[in-house]
Amino acid sequence: MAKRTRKEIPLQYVIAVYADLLDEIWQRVADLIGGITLQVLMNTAVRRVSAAYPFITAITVTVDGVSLDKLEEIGRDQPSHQVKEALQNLITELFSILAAMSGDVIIRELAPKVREAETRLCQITENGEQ
Amino acid sequence: MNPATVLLVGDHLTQETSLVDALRREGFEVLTAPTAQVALSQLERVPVAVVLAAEHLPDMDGLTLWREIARRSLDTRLIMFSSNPTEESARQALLAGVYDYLAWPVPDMAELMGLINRAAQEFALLQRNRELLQQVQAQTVQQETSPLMTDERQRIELNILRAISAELSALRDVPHILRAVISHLSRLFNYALLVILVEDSEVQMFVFSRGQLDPAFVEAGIEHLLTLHSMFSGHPYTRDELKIHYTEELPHSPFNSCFAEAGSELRSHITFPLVAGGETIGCISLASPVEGAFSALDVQVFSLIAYQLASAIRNVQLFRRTQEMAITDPLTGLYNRRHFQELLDHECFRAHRYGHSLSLAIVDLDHFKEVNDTLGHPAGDMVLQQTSQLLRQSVRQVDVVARYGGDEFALLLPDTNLEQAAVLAERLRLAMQGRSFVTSQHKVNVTISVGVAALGEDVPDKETLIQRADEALLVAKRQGRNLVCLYVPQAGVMEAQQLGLRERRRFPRAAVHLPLRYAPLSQEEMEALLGTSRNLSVEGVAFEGEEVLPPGSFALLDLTLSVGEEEEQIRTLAQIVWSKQESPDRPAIMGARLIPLSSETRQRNARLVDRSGEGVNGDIESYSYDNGSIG
Repeated sequence: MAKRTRKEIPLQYVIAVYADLLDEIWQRVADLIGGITLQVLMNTAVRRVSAAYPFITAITVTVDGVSLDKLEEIGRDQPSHQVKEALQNLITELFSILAAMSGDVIIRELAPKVREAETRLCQITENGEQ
Repeated sequence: MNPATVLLVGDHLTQETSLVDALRREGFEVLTAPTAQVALSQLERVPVAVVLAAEHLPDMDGLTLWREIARRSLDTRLIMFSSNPTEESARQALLAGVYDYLAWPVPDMAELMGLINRAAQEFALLQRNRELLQQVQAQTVQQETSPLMTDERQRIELNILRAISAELSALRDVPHILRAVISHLSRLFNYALLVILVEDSEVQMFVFSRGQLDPAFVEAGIEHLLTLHSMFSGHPYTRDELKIHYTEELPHSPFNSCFAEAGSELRSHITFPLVAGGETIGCISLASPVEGAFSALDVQVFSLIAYQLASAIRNVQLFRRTQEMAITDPLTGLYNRRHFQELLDHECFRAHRYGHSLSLAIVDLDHFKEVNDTLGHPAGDMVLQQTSQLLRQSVRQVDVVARYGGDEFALLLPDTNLEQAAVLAERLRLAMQGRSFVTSQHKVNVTISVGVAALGEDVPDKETLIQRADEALLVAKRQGRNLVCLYVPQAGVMEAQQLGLRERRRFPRAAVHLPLRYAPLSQEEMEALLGTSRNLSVEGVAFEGEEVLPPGSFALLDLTLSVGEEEEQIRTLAQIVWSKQESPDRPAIMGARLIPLSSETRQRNARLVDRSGEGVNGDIESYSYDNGSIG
């Protein structure tokens, strides 16, 4: 039986999946609470995650959404699984902030989308492993 | 634009042709009414901007007339005239909403015209605002009755947003905005507790509960908001840093009793940061002890309210900051010259109206240019800031301190006559003289020259007041600086000390311990302090307990010492003071100072030693010694 070794997922895949997911989350949450407030929440999440993953501050947050372009640039110096972990943590942190703000009211609205994205990520991970 | 109408009520006013002529020259339409009833019937027919009425009319008193007018039109302004003005009558009139209350006959027609013009402008603005409001209301009614807006909730939401928008333009204070918004929130959300934190000049927290709640629940709500605010803004606050306002006055609803019984657990909440201009300026939270109290729609609406509220608060803060910037000098934080002129206008007007005294002192830092030139502008700025602080701390709250020019300050002293102003100025001069300013690298001693004048018969208006104080300042400068000069009516400018003005004041017991310099002075130090004069005079003032003894009740020492003896003498003085402090049971202490004895300074006898002065500097030394121990 061939030995299964862990292979790094290409960074562009990670960035693409999380860019889509963050965009989706942004649209849904911004509909509920507005871009200005969401910008504050996202910046709070970035600040908190940056303690463990300093490169996450390369994410650009505006009232219109999140851009991962700079993160893609500087993420080349990082193992892609670390970038993935950082982005996963960012979303977890955002969710915990949203939960702290309104219990499960906002989270409920987001749950289906997040599950969908998790499935896609799992597929990519599976394909990346031999 | 149509000319504004002014209505004169009462025979005194209507028969005053100079007033009628002056009003017509200003472009006003003038109506007259001998009695209040005639005036009221005219007001029914014509929109009147300003009513000038006598305090006592044949058929009604002026206040009743004002109340009748206010019932008819909120915009019309009334100025009341009294031939026998009292502060109490003025207070009553102004409290009732009368625009102003003046003595009749008016001393200055030009000032009266200015006042009437301002009142007429306010009338015009209010009328315009009313038209705009009517237009907005008409549009709102149209929206509310459209098929899309029939839902009750949408109407309430619209009301809240309208209330907040109105606050945005009204620019009132933060509590006012919150009250306006909160009055609507209880109709929209099923919350038990509303907590709002606002970072303003101080950090304030407003806690509104619907009915009586479990204190543990209220605590949980407050803690929750503090945690989230700290997370959003990065500024954690402790309770001690907050000014917390609790209110339990929200309208009762059927929910209130169920909240009280629901327990202490925080089961539902919505919390939003208050974000404006990219900054988090606070936090707002709705909380409930009931599970699932808020829906996604609640979150959506509440976010919009939070955003609007933040903008309204920010607007007020910016407006207030702009107002402050417009009237204050950025370096010293004192009022600027322009605002000082406005206050001077107001105080002159007030002084004339009530026959009160008003003094002006213009303070100039001596040789300030040298501080800038030798120590640099940062040191100069620090001296200006510290001087400002000293001036502000040395006057009453009602006094106005302003930065008048580069190194000039102006002190406006209401209800203060020339003599009192001179005493204050002399105290300031001594305080400055006894103070060392500490800059980053240097210790600087700066003295002041002060020119003082007061309103009076030959100083009738603000222009003359400024001119006379300026003249006095110029003389103080010419006479060698570090001096207070005053403009004395009919006598011209005089030195304060020539008039023998002295202050009788109480000193705290602790102030008896003057900051003394005990070490004997070297020849060099002596000359630096006293110049090359070999003659010295010792002048003094006596204290018994905390009280300064009246002049004449103690012996004034006048010693002439040679330089050779000065060192020894000063050492002796210091030693005596030292022994005095060790013998607190002695009845009298005398404060004294050594000054160069010249023909000029010899005149300044019986000068008061300010025992609250700090340190030793300048050309005068302060010492204390035991009366009778020197001879």
